[in-house]
Amino acid sequence: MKLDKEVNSAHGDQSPIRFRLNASSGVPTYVQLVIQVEQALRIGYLNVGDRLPRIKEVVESLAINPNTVLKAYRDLETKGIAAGRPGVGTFIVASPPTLSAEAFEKLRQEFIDGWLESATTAGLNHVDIMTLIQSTLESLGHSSSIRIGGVSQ
Amino acid sequence: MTSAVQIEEVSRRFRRFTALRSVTATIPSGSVTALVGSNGAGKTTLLNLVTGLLTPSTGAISLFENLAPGSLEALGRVAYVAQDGPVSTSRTVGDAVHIARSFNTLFDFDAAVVRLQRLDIDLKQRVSKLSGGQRAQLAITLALARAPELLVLDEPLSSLDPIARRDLLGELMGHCADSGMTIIFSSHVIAELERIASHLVLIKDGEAVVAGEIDVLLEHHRILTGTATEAGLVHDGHGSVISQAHPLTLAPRVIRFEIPPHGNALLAPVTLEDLAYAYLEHAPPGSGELPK
Repeated sequence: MKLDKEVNSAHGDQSPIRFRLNASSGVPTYVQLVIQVEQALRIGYLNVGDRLPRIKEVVESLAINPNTVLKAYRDLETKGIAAGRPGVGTFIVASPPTLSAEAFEKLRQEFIDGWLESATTAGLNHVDIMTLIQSTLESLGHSSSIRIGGVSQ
Repeated sequence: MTSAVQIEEVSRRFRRFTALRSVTATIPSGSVTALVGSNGAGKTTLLNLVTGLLTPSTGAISLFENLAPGSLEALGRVAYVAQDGPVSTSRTVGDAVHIARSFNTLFDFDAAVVRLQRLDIDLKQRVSKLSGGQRAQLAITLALARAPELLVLDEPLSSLDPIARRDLLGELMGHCADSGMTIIFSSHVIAELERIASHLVLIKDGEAVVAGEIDVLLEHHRILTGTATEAGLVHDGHGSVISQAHPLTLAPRVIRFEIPPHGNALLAPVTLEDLAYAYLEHAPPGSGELPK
């Protein structure tokens, strides 16, 4: 998923980000939107106080149902990352906590050396592994959206 | 939630041929409903009934809670873009726009002209000389200029190129976001519906085999990737098999569940396409045995 910094931001009320969709990823559309906002926050494209694109802008550019955008923004509100101001728009109010590159790499290595190693030895293929991870998260009550603990104000 | 269209036990016969058989469906206000079915399934008949061009043989349809399709009050609030653009008798594009303006109390003339200019459709062009895509765009322009509460589109994408399709869908979604307009549209191209439709009505041989909110439908269906025994499914209460894979193919078996199952590794989520194909190709709803 790519994020485009809006080059032409002559209008002060324009949102710094523009959404993209990956049609073949299998990730639900609203989750893709949520992830892009979280990623934009992590790499500093979006900051507290920035406005998210208006629902009309998003649906026109991506050709998706308005409810999908509403759902994504509501999810961001539930996570405490965004807040809607009636008649004005939806704004970033907090950043998700960032994971340092070292911490991320450590988790990844633990996953590869530990569980993934056992799974491969047991003869699971790529699809088996994906199915197992997906169904486990689902059974534990996680949505397919990426959740990042709490929220740093 | 109020309904834009309420279809109750509607049947329609043409002489001896029954085009629709006891169709029941609710289309909520503000929804985007995809009407899917194979050729000759009865999609256009249903749209003609909703817009009042046909009357049901039995059953009833009401619009906006209490209006009859085709009634004067309903006509002002509904726009229908039929498959064969009804504007073909006008001499020029400009004439078609003027005629539409004089026939409608509410008609945004400027918006219509701006839209046609944006699409490079010359007002002086003869309608008979327009391409299929341009003719479809003209019909859509005239429909949108009436700012309908309910927009009914019969195969709106079939004559448009991929870019025009995407632009049109985006534009329609913008109208939905702005005004809460309800849209019903028929289509064969299921992949294109997935991102814009909130509701689905699936017609097979004149019967509505599936009708409802897409998120809810997907939640209640799964693809069985192993055997029923492996997945721990039992025959009673766990759902019905919608499509039974042929032993020699790898076609997925789609199962409908009364209660959405969780945490079963052999039950994979379905896409709208899986679901639609399963119903269109296979057994009627509620029938079928669980695979052993």
